[in-house]
Amino acid sequence: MRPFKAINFLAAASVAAIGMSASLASAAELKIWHHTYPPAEEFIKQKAAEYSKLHPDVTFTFQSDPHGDYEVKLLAAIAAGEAPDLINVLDYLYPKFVSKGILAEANLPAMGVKTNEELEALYSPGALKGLMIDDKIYGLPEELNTFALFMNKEHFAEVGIDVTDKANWPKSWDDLFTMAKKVQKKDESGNFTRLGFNWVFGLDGFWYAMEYWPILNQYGCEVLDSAGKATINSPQCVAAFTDTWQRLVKDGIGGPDYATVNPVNALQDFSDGRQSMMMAGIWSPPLFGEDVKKNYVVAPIPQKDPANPKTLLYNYSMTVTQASKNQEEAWRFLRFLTSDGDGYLRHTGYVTGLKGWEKSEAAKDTIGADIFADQLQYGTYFWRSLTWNEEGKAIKDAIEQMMQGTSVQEALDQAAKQIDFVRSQN
Amino acid sequence: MDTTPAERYRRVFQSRKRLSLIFIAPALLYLAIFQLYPVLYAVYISFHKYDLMSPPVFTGLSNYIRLASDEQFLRSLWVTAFYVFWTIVPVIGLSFVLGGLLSTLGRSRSVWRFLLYLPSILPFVSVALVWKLMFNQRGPINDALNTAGMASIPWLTNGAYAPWALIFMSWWHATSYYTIIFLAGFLTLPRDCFEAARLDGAKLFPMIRHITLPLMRPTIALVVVLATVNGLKAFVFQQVLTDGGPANATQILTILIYKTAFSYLDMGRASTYSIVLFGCIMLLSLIQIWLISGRRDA
Amino acid sequence: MHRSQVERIAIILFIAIFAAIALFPILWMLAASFKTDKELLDGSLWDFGSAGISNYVKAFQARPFLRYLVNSLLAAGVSVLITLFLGVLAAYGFAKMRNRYSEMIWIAVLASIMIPIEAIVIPLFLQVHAFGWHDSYAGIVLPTALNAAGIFILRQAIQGIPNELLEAGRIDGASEFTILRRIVVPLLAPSIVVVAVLTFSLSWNNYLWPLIITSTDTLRTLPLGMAAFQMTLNTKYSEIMAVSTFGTIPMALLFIFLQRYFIDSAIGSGIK
Repeated sequence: MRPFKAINFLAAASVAAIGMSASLASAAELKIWHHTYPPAEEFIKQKAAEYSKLHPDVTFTFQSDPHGDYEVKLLAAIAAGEAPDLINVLDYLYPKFVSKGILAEANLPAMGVKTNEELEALYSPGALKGLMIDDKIYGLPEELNTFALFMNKEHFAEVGIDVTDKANWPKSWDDLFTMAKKVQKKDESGNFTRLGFNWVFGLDGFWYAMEYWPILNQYGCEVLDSAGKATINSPQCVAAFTDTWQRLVKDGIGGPDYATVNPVNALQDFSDGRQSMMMAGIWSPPLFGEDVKKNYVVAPIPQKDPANPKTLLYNYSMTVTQASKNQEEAWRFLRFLTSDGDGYLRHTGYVTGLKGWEKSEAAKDTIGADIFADQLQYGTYFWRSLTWNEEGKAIKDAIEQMMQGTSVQEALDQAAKQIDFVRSQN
Repeated sequence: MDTTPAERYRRVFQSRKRLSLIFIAPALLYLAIFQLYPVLYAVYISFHKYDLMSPPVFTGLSNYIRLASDEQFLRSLWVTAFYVFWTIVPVIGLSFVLGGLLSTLGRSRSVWRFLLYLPSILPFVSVALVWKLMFNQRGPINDALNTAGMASIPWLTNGAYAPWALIFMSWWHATSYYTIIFLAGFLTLPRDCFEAARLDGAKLFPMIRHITLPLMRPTIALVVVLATVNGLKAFVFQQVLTDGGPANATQILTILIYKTAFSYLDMGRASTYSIVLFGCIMLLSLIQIWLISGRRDA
Repeated sequence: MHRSQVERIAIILFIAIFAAIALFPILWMLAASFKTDKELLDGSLWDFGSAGISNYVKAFQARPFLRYLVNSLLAAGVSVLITLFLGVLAAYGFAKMRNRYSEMIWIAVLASIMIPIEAIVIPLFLQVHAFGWHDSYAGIVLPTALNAAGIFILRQAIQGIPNELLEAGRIDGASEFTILRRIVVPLLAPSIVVVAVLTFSLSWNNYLWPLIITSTDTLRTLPLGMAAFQMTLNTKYSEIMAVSTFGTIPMALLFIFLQRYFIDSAIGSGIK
């Protein structure tokens, strides 16, 4: 209890410090860019209005773009020297952006803290690591995420398994696939009428990474070795993908051919009640159909070695651009904005990752908050690289190949070759 | 005034030459600013390494030399060639036939013409979105296959079928467009030729071979070139339906360029691909024009 | 032409099959716009949807599609005007007033038709930004307004005009401009219509350029608005179908209105 109170106090103190510096603020117009997600956009606008009341000299303008287009527009703006002040960036882009001098270093005093450690202490352990390059912090998490296993309890009840009981949760990947086979249904012509479990296919390299990263960690598979050479085709990696991805097709459990996914409605099958289990983030329930909303259960993801759990961590962060002429003010606002973890969770479903978030009122209303909080501890961020997008794409291509029948080794060999080719250009 | 007709003519002619420049100038200026300059800049960038965030770094011909070992690029060339070939050949054939048949109709022609042209009226994005849904695992096309007793086909998720899905969709879209062009061409053909030939007892196929085809040459040349250029410039369909997937099965060159520029931020490489594409388009067009319509001006 | 009844019926049947194929996806799209998401994929083909016009209503509430439509119309309209004005002038210049350089310059014009937009979009962006047209109507509309294919078509048409007509005008003392205005343009009417429709269509479908150059939502064009509708986690396909149907209307109206001129022109050609 005591550490919790101390953190609370520290947090409150820093926010108060921000409030007290109201009189010192100078006139500023902050441009905020965010990816399209109406609940988040609305929430940010609301907080901005609140902030403007405290700091009358600060005004805001907003812009949002859908996820895919967003990066393009941002880069075009930066190239033209029209960069906004506050931007919304995924963590894996930090190496590239920081190396090009796009992001501004965190202004600790403006945020009411003196050292990196103080800031990190406010958050769930390891949350800020992904936003740090060379021990400098460059952003704050807006949406700290990990994946968990969602299950449809009605489906399982039909086959006599009570998934509200922890004991029945799949501990290993074998458990998962066994359960999937039990609960799936096919019609006379062999078409699936209910999928037990399926991965999401057809989206970009980033989405695939969210799905396979926990597994790579669990199997000891590295994308790159310390010398920067591709090791995605190592025996551990081959085992990882064979056991958990190609298995779907080999065992007739699922695969890209059976998912309804058009590359834009990722979770449709589970949301419509046509799939019994899926891996997704804490943000997914608002998208479920009514039936599924009443019937889902959240469990930790399966582990290869339950004694040594490993999973993923990623965050959609907010940060300040180097080009901004109001960096101090921007950081101040950012701290103000993200300190309202409760508000974020309640209005947008985002977990800002502040310590103790799972004990807040809003979290109590969110099914599985405790599971997510627990999992966050074992999460690690994606591998870091200046050419992440191309490398992610190479692995995506390999997965799509192996799901269509190519041997896992061959597919991963090709990915390794492509990754080496890409990296050799730098 | 007391000038000879020759002098008057000369004066008029001379001023016309000057005037011609004035007439052409506005359009030329426009093209120079908004097309020529960017292309030159793209050529310039293809000799550099540039990621939009820091100044370009000169790398000479290395971008071009690397093309030989760039598997994504080589694969993309093949995918593009496959797509263009299978799109052009059937489409031109079918459009030719439909255009010809339409030209024989009387009053009912306008109705059929309207219906056949409908696919071209839809915005590309709409066409792509509708077909994406139609090719869905549980969409109408698979439904139809199922009722006919066949299994559902994984149109967009399997590399063997995805290219064909796009080709079929392009047939639907492109035929509509070129049928109308062929129709226009057919309508300009002199009727008397055919009347005379028929009266002389000529059979259909020889008539087509010796009369129709030669007369339709300019239109055919036009359509072949257009279809090739448009095929090579295709983008929206592939991006919306499969985004180049699965596993690059439908990653035509334009998609690769887009990804390289805007996702991988490698402007130098993207420009190199663009220049190659542009070169292919020009080369193919020139060859086709020369082959089909002789040395007549396009 | 005398054709037997059987021949006529066979021809019409053949055409009808393809007309049906052409029509099917469009009808499906229309029907789908009245269905709910579930009915779209799970329901049978021939069901009449239960969503009524709610998809349209929801789509319009979600985003200012009317505004997008106006933006698209504006861009297309300006493009048509610029192409016609500059195009007729240039086409006349190329067709009737040739000199040593005409051929060379003409090849350059032809080449510009072949440039893929992806190749020039970034340089164009940087350039347009330097003009200060970033995120403005000028920036969206002007750079891609001139349709070089239009010049091509107009030139073909003008070449078909007998020189005697022009000479007659010249001998009467008319200036080249007057000749253009009084003699050439009226004769060009069908081709002008063709170019207008093709340019409109090209502008209407423009996607990549407006995407890069706009930031403000209210400046977006219709294809951008439709694409923005596709979010990774929450695409409402039925609403997309409604918006797509809506996006078809302007072109359809234009086409119906100008059908007569458009098709029967002896020179129906162009680039998508």
